[in-house]
Amino acid sequence: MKNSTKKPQWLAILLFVLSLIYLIPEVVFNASLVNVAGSGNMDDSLLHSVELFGRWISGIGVTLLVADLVLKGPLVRSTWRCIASFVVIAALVWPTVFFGQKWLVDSAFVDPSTSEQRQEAFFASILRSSLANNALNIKGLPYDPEHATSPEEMTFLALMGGMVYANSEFIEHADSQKSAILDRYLVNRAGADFPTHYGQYKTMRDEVVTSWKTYSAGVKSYDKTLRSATPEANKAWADVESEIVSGWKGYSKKQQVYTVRAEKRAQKVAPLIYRHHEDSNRCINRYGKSKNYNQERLTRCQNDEIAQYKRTLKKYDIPYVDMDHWLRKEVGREQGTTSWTESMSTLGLSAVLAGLEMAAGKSGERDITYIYTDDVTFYTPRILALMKPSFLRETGYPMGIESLKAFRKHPTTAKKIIKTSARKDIKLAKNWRVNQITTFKNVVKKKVRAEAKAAWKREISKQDLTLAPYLTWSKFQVQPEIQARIKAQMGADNYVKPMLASWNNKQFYDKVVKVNIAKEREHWLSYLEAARSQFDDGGPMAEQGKSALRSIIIPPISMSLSLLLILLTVVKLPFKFWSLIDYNATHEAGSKFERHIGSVLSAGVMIAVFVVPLIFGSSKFTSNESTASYFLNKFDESVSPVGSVVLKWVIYTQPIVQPVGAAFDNNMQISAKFERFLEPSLAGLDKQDVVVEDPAMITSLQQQKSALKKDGKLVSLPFRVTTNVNNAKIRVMNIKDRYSPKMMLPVGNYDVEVSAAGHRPERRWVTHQQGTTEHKFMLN
Amino acid sequence: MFIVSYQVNRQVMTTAVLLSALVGCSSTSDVPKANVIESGNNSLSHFPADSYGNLLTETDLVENGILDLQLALANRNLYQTKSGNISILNQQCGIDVIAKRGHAEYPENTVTALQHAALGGYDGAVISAQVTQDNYWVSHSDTQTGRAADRYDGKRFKFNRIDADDWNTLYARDREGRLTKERPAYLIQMLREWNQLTTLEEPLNIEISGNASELQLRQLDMMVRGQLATGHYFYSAKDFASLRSLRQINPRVYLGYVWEPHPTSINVLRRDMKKAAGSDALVKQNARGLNYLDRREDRARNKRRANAKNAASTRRYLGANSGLHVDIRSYQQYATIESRSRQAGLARVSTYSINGAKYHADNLKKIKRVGRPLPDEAIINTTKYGLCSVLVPTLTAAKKPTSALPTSTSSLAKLIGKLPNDADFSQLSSQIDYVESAHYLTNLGRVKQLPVAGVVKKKPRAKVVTHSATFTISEDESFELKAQAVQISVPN
Repeated sequence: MKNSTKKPQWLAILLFVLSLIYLIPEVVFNASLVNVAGSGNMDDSLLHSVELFGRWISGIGVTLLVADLVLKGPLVRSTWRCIASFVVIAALVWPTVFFGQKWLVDSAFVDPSTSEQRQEAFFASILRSSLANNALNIKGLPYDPEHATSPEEMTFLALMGGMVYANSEFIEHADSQKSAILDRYLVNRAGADFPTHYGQYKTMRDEVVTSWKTYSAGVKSYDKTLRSATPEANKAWADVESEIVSGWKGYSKKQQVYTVRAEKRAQKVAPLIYRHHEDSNRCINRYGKSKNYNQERLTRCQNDEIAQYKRTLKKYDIPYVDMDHWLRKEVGREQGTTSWTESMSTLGLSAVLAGLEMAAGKSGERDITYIYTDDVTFYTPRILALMKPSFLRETGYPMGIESLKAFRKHPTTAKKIIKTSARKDIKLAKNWRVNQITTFKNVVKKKVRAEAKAAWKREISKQDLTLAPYLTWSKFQVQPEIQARIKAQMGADNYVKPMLASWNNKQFYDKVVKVNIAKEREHWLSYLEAARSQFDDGGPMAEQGKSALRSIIIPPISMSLSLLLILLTVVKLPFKFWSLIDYNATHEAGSKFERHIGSVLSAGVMIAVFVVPLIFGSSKFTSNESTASYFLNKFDESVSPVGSVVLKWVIYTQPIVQPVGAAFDNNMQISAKFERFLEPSLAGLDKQDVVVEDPAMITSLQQQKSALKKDGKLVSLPFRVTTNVNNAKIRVMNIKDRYSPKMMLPVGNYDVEVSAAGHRPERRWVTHQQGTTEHKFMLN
Repeated sequence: MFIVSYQVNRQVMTTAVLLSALVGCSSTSDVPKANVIESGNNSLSHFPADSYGNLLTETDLVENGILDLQLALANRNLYQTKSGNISILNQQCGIDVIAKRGHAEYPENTVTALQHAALGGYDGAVISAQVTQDNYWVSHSDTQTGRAADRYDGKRFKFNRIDADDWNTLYARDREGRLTKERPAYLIQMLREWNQLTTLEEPLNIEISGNASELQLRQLDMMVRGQLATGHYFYSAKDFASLRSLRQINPRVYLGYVWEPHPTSINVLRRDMKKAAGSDALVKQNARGLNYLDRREDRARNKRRANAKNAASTRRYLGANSGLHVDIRSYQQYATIESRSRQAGLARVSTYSINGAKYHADNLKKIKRVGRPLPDEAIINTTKYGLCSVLVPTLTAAKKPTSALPTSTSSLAKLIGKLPNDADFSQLSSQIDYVESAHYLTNLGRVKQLPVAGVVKKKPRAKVVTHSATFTISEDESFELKAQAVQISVPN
């Protein structure tokens, strides 16, 4: 029977090993909690992160504890049963512990808290942080801010918030100096954070300087290109001049080539054309004379000759011209005239002839004869003239341009330059002429400038900037794009507009840190100096008040419980280990007495864990001379005597355990891994408890804060909930008062639940503000 | 038969007219005084013998603006030759420049071209020599007529069939291929001209083309020796056998062995000619007269190339007073030509090119840039200034400011002083227009902006925007970060 009730050995070993493993994150959590709660940091998110870690690991711890207690008898009869039972236990226990803790704290301490408690918790948290940051010195309190990271100091500080909170007398006493305390706290905290923030600023400055250098190099290049506009224009014009010279050489060469071509053709065609003339004459002699005149044959003969002549021209690529084109005109003597010498030499015949010519009325007329020739020099210029159209087609220029000057002025030259320039992206007007040098250079300059600007835009856009060139260092820094980068680098909290990269540490402190201190001071003062009612449920300070309360209450409780759990687990482990060594013997052979002895011994050790530190422990904080005794005594009076004993036990014990957890965390990075892998999903599970802050809600809170600042009181507006169901039950969950249709509620956010029989209840947060005072709920 | 045309005086006169026009001279009537030997003082008497104006009187020099011009040019290490072109005053070019078949601007192998070569500041000239069927030595390089010399009716003659009567019907073509009125020359005319116009320092290279017999070569040598003194001439030929014969005939004369052009050069030439002629078949026919374009010549050329002699063989067969005349492409490709020739004890290495003067000059420039020795002489179709200004860009650096010259009144003198070193000083008349618009023509045929010093600076119209890349960051300082803690005591 006995065998059937006990755990299988493997399970016992497994649970032992798991307990051993569990101990490591538990002790790490403990150390993390001390670190956060004992640092005086007022960041809620850090505390929330540690809280999640603690709830997660305590869920595991309790699951293992319950499994150890419950997994016996029928539940462990088979391996599968064991596993299934363990899974069921884990599924039930872990969520209960994870969510239960929060629920317990909220429902037991936070939600029922009064606005006074919340406000005092707020002030207590500031006092605690001020102590940590050496902004507050309580006479006789041996807290040493110079050694704020020592386990002893951190443990005390983690408890101090709770002790101050429990001491209304001290809070009232310190209230008169709250503004001064807040100031010093903010200044000292900023001073402590200054190296980090200034380091961030210097990193930003290096980046801005790098951007400036890149920008300056770009401006230099841009400037160089701009300045090159005139030399470039001159060079481009020199190229045009070179093109003209080259064109002129080509033109001259082409003229020479054409001359040679004409001459070669003349050499070939001169004898041929001469022969065509002769043949044509032969036709006339044969068929055109009166004795054997035959018009038809004459025409045919001459046409044949002309056809052959055409073929000759075609063969030598000479455009067709009439055969008469090749006749040389020879001007003879003037009719009706003669000279003495001529008359004498002709024995007077020339005089007779002149007389006859005069008689015939031909006096003064010149003898003109057309002759055909095979003189090549006669043909060459004529053929050259016929090649002019071809020359024009080939070169674009007419033949016979005699000088470079004339060549320059020719419209074809301008056209060619327009064309070649267009290839170089120099766009000239169609009517541009070569003498318009200034126009040309202006086009080039314009092009160079446009290219420079395009290159500038291209280069600057590579840096994701659209800055204009030629900015000075001081102007560069204040450009909106640079300021946006600075802001992104520094973060909104550490940015002021404009933020210059040229500041030194003092300037950065004065212009950024001091401004932030002033902003924070205003923020915190709005809480500290607000009317107590503002911390009421639904009030603008309610959530912050609750958070402050959590940050004051949770650390001491969690720390104490975690510490106790660790120590108990640690002292139990040797006993468990001993029982595992001789597992069967222990369970089979052990007598009832032996088992009782074991339990008593175990209980004794546990008691010793609590008692021994109280008897033998010592701390500077618990000595009679220490002002801490005053706070412990007050805790004793206002909370419970047990509570102060527990605090003392923690003060003695925690500094011993914290370094162990810190060492584990340092080596194994457990908290960092938790933050990275588990926290997001656990925060998701926890989300339902977090107020969803939509913009409207934030606006309403801001309105309320402004109203508080201005008038010192909240703005209340009529609060009305309408629904589609008559007699629906309407509850405002985050206020104590019952809902009534025309109740006045301060501007803020309210958790409203509307329910009615036969309909699905609807619950959501509504924003109650100017213009939004009626809230509709449609039930399905 | 010997139509001797003494055109030198006419050319000199033309040059003087041009110069006068450039310098704004009012008188051109006394130009023939160029030939007047002035016994009185002359500021240009120390100028080279072929410098224009060195024989004029001081008064004429001044009145015509020639003194001003020549001194301004001399300040740039240049002078104006009697031929009208610009040449180098001091021998700093590092290479002798030889006029290829006469002055580059005149029809090749003509008397005019040789006259201008003699008076154009060259270090010598090359003329071609070929013998007709009836044993007349004429100055012609191709194996047939048509390219360099042609008849008006286009009739052509192969050189192995041509006789003096046929030769007398020919006219010279200019360098662009146009027929001129000038007759191609007989060799004797050329020799006489050279003898009259040059000194011993300017030897005439008689390049023998075609296949002359030993007897014909002997006749040639006799004719040459009858006109020119020893050292005033030498021979060159592609045909090594001819050279060996000449060595037998004349043991002391320098003999240049002309290597065949590099095959690539021939291909480039063919391509260029084809491109220049375009699709015009008749123009192509015109170019066919050039040996390198004649495919029928390829066989003979290949045979000569196969039997080509290197430096050592040349030295062995032709003696020490001989040298190699090689295509610039070959000279550049075979880096040891120069050193092997020196080692073999050859007297000279010359380069020539069939791919144009620019190619020749560019390659000499490359050779100089890589530190290789230049050949002794370049047989080239450009002026001495044209080559040397490319080879030595600083050659025309001004020795002193124009204002410091004894006379610097004329606008041309001022222009010469103003032009940068890479300007084309051979085109001073064109430079006037360019300089007016703050530009100048370079010796590479481009137009450039004159350096700023030569241009009047305009005042900037707009305010100059500047950018300073400097940035300032204030120094860190020490200050108190902590506030005094508020002292509070617990209530009593």
